[in-house]
Amino acid sequence: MNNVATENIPHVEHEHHKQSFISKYVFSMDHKMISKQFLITGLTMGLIGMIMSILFRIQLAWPDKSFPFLNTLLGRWASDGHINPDFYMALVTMHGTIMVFFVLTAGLSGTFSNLLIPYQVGCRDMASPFLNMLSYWFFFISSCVLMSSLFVQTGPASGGWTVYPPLSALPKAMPGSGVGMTLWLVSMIFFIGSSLLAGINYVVTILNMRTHGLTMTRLPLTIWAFFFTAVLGILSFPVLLSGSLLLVFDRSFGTSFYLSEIFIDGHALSNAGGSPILWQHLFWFLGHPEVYIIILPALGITSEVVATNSRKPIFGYKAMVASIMGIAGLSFFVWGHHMFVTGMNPFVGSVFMFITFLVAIPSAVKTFNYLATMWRGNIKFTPAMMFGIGLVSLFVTGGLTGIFLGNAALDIPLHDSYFVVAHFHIVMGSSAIFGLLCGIYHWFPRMFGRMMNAPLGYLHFWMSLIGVYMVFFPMHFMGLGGVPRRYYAFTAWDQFAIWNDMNEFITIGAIVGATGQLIFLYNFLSSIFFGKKSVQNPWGSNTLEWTAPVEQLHGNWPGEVPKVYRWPYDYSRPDSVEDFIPQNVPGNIIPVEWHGDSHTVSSLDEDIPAKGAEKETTVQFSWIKKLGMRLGIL
Amino acid sequence: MKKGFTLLSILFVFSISSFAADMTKDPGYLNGEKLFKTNCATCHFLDKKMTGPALRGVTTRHSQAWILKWVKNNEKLRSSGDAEAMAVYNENDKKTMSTFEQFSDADIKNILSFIDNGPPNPAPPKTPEKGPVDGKNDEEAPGFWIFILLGILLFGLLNLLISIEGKVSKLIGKDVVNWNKVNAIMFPVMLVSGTYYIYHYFSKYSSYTYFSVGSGSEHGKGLDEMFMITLAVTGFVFIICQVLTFVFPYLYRHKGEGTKAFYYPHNNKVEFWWTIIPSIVLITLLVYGLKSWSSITMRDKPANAYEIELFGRQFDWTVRYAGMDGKLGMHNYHQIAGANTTGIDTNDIASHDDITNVGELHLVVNEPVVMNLRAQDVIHSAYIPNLRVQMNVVPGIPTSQIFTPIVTSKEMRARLQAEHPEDAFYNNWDYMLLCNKICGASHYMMKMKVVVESREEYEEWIKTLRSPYQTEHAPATNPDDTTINKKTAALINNK
Repeated sequence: MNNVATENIPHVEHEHHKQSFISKYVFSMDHKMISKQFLITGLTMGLIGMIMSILFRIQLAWPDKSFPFLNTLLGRWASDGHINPDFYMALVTMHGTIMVFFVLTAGLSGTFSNLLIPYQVGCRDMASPFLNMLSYWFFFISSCVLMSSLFVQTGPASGGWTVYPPLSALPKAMPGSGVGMTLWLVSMIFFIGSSLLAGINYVVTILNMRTHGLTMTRLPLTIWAFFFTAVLGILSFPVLLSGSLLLVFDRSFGTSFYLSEIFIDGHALSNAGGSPILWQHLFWFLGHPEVYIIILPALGITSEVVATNSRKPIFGYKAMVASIMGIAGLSFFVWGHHMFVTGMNPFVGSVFMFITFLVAIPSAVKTFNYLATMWRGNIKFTPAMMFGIGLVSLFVTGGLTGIFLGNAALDIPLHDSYFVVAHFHIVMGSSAIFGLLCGIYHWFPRMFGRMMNAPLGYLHFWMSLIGVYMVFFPMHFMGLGGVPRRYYAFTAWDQFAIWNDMNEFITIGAIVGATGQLIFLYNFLSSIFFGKKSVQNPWGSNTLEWTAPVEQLHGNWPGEVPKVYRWPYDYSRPDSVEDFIPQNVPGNIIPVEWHGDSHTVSSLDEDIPAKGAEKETTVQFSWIKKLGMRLGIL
Repeated sequence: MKKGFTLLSILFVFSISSFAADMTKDPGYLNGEKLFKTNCATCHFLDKKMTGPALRGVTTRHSQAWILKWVKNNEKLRSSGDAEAMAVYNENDKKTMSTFEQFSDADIKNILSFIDNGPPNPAPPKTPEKGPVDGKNDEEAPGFWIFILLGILLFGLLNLLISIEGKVSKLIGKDVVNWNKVNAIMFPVMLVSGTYYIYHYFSKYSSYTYFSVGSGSEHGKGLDEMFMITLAVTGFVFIICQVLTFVFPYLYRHKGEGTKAFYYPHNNKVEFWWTIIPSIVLITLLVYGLKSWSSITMRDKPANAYEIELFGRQFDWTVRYAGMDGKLGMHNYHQIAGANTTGIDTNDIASHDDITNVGELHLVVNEPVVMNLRAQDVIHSAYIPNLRVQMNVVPGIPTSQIFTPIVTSKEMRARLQAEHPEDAFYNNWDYMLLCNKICGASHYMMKMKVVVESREEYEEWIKTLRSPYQTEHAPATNPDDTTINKKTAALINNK
């Protein structure tokens, strides 16, 4: 009976086998529960990562002030009210690791892939609920191992989240490279296991378990994004796994994969013939696709939310799918742009630069499509929609600075400066966080059957947006002033003294942003228990998850799984009274009311959206003219 | 009587202070200060724990003989089973200190004289009178908690207001606040304030970026130009996209029941153009960038170039010049010991006249230099922002960069003074070499002064440096080593 949920047969409520507390809430195999587990763990890790960032921002803003509460909080790591340099490095490293892997990979993709894939493709659960459960518990173990490194004598890993050897390979190079680094590697190995189990499951479910009528061209963009994210993960994480194992060998068994000609602590090491650059290649072979593993689900979520709340079909569905595909494909051949100044062959640098520039094209297309989706829409400002708009703004800002950094020649002065910090925090950090929050606000009713408090959500959004721009926009200037990243303090650098005011301002911005997140946390937790009860389809959305009843059933739908008759973006069709037509509504039962517009719409049973849309391009005015008129009127 | 006492005490104080003043003029003290700043300051303050412990009073904690042994090679001392050494090691979280075998006993005693008599370090906060008002000082610790408490109260109040608004709306059956409208208006408001914010930053900080005074190197000029072009292109796109992102929400907000969006799923023509135009622009930038990249990195060594070697280790830089033969000797990391801190291979005769220096790197203006880079322990990165130079320093894999400084330190300083006449800092400005790849706890202190000067000044300076090989094998101290000395002499004569 265990696997009955995976088959698309009618599933009757009263047939349920009784579930104990443990099998329902702990070792659950239900995709909805697993998604909640991912979300809660991810948010917890996110909170920890955020607090860490505030701690090191305090150090950067006021390096010569003493804060007794730091001593209370951190003990010997801040013995005189200052965070000490070793722990500063550890904080930076842990912040990066937690945010990139635990929040934005597992927290984002894990939560929403798990929740939405079975719901939106119309199946009762993942292809393998057991692997799915295993994937969460690997992730949980991984989180615990990483957190445990905070409590070891020599402190957690502190060589930066990219853990470049030899720094990370030699405990003598810094205390964090001792037990802390071992724990980091163990945690990462569990994490990769979790990612692979999850990814395989997502791909199989999407390819094989779509409900009747749901062709690939009718998939919501969320599913497309999750699909390519999973493919990226499956192809790139194993490389990090092997890289990590080699690092374990170097650290513990005396091999020389990454070590050569090192003299440290008064001794010449016998390691010879290794290459520290090899690690960078292996790491970034995952590391760059990882960036897209983070941002693609966020973009997918935004596509869905922006279309729903603009009450308009997503503009250029096919172009959107093609750009996701393009970004995913190209992402495997750009890793070298993180290594322009490592001294690698300059010709190879040219190739990486060329491909890096190509990635900008699909990204630009996606941005324009979001804007065109909002154009002449009927925008409803749910908190989710606002985070979606915020994501577009951040994606533009951060994406454009990528054109500077992708240029190998310009990267020479810009590399590893605050300009880089600004770039990636905006384009893949903050904008992916915005995608995560956008998803939480949008699907909260689906997950918990209650609504989140909207006004608090608005406040959260504005504080987040202001916070992000306060923190990261000024950093561009610091970077162009030659200020390097990962510096504990600038007290020894007279030429950086002019940036002191800015450093204080940034920290205040970070505190504003973090306060916003605490408001969110309050809203999230209180709404789970006391939120207003949700209706079945609160946002008037077309996708299949809203056709299931509010209360979460084992197997998702009480009767048969819904059949699909149309694409997911039939919003505000001129021939329909309602401004949305869910995917499971057959054409012939829609009350057709014709407005006498110049649109010609073919039969509603039409399979492929493009067909209906192509005929529609008999709009009399060009797009630009229309925009002009519209602006002129207002 | 009272007067006499005052006079006496004044005399007493004066004598003490004059004694202290004398101390700081002592050549040993001065030498110690210099050595401390270049070698010890990356990990030690005098009065505060940094990576290593605070050093003031170290002479009372340990015997001088022990300190001499510890500083020269603490590793050896620890492995000899010295209990005192193990205790120090354990007290400091088992962090290992670098070895300094190049120091003579006199050097270390000089350093100790500086440690005992040096000024407070780190310097006390510059504005102590501001301290107590700040609420973040030791005495006023509750300030922090009051701040948090106030925040929670404020939030509670806000939450109350929101729930009242919700309840009233429910009661009267219509929204008290039209949130949709409020948010719609907020977007353009944010656009306007954001524009001002960006303008403010550009006007206030543009002159502090390294573009304001131009590049100090030849290739940097091309980079600056390319940066500006990229900035213009991306700036244009930035403005268009951000304006649309923040104006569309206002224009196309939901305006009440009955309004409907415009069903417009795609338009191939528009999509074609907004794929093609960015592609053309990007390819133009790409070709420009590729040309620049290959001209910087794929050039042959110019005929008139001279070679130097920059050696990075935790946490300082050493520069090596070729000496009279104009050739850098080979290196072998197994030979790092004593004065040979960079592991010069003494079996290679070309290395015998190589000279090294810690703390300052001198370059000749208008002459191309081949900067070879080598690391002792972990990856470092040699970064000179004002010369637009950056290259990683990788253990086991020698890297290099060729560039031509074209602006002397003096001229660049004059430019900066002209740009910021009010800021006294620029009177002492210098090019700086930074470490720009995380390399350990004192990464942030790893720096070196760079001086770009004329050929004559450079020649003058380089005369003052010593060759580590000749220091170790100086004829007076090492009479047995005559064969090597003869070889060196022959080499010098041949030149």
